[in-house]
Amino acid sequence: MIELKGISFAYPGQAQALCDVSVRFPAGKVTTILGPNGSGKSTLMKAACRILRPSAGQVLLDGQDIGAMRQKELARCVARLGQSNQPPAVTVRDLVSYGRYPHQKAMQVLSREDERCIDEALAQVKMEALQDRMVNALSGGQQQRAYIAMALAQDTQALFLDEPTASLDISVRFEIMDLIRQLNAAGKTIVMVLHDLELALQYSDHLILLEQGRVICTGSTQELIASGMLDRVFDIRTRVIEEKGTTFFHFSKTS
Amino acid sequence: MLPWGLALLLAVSVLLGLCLGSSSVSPMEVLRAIACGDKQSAAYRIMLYSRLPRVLGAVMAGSALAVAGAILQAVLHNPLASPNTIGVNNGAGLFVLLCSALFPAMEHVLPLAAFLGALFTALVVFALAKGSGVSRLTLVLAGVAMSSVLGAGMNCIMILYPDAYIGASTFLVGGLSAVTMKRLHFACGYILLGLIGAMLMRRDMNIMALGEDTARSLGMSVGRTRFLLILTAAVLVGAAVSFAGMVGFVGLIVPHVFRFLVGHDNCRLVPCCALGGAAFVALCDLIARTAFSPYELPVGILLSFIGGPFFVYLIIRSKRNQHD
Repeated sequence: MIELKGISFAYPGQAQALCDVSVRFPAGKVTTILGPNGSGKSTLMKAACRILRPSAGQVLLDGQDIGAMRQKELARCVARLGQSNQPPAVTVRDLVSYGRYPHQKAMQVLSREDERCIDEALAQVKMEALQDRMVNALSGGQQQRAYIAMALAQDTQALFLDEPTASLDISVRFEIMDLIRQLNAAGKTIVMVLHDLELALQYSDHLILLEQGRVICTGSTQELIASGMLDRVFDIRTRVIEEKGTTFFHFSKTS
Repeated sequence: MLPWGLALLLAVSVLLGLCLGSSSVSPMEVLRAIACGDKQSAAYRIMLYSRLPRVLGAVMAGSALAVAGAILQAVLHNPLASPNTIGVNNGAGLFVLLCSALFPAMEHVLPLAAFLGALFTALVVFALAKGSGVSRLTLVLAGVAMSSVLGAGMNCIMILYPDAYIGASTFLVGGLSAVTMKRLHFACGYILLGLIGAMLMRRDMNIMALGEDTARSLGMSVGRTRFLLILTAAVLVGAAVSFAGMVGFVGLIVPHVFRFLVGHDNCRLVPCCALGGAAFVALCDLIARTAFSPYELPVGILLSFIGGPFFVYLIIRSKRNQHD
């Protein structure tokens, strides 16, 4: 369980990006942070992983304040993939091996355990056949899988993903979201920031809606839609369509 | 396989550097002069007082500057960064001249002074670039601005203290003609320390190259690691500048060539830069002193002829990649 208590943060010379935010990311669930541009979604995720130090509040990981943890210790508990990573000119296997960094001492070479974790991470994202290819020569979807494998090699209980489907084709987006669901089914706690409302509503167990750095609403997909807050914050009308056992969402602009 | 090839190339470069020059010495005579230590023989004196310091100086400076370039490019996420493009060479040079002018009898502290100058400049350039968003060209422009100020400082010292540094004109373009075993002796400890430091932090350089946020997510203490890497680069640059002067572009050309040959993995790149940089400067110095015989060019001039166009090519490629 990851719990944020009274988190506030402002970028230098700018208005508050987060104001007294208190939320929970339940263990073993897929939680998605939603909100319009500039609502503080990525900032909240960065504060939750201590990429940013909040000006007030604390982040508790199973009751322990992450502010007091060493950087490597934290990276053994929580993995995070940011937006728009510049693909490096290294092989997929090399990239995935970087995920073992928090488990290694200075100058330590990859151990058998490290190699096993790398093989396992590659298998989980189905990238074994591409492990010797250069990351920057892969398609967008394959690159994202390689980065997810790097985060999996960290062998953490929670995985934070900031816009994991950004700039991917629609079919690849579903592929990545299915992969995330599989990882969750295997026991991983997932926290995502998503712009795509339909994917967020379809694939999440728990949603957090932000507006101007404040939490507006939290709950399941049904609860969020029923509250009417999603429609108000995005200025849209959401329709839920049930067809042959599948739920679809339709969004239209309010006139 | 490549490191062995580079080691062989380095050995050949050193042997050629020892044998060839205004008076040629055969490899057998070189070996005999070094093994027997006959102080009366011409070959021994050529070796000890001219060729050996020069070749060793080329090897040490080439290795140090190439590895420093690879470190700076990884730390600053900038393929255009190198000791001379961001002004670190000039910082080291200014402190060397300042130290020579103020404490002429303290030749042994020159590498330390150069290190402090290099560290100061690297940290100032990094702070300037970070404050303005760390774009690739911004960093180089900050380096150009710093180089101008530091270059003016060096010229001031040379006008106010014309006898401060023997061979000051060669120092400013970068050359190895005034290198002595004594100066190499002072610098070699620093270079060894810097190369060991770089080898120990190769994996950190890989993680750092992924970007600050990703490095932090992987458990790196980014601020501390970045400072240690800049410190290592400053030690290497300072030591090289203390005896070879403002030799430029080695730290730009060599890492790029080896990145093309062995890829971006610093675990492979750093040793290749150390060996390849040494061989490259040794060969360039050999060409610079034999191509226009009986005249000798400082190796810094030849490197500028090669490095200048290479730098322009990298800027154009960098701009093209941004547009793509």
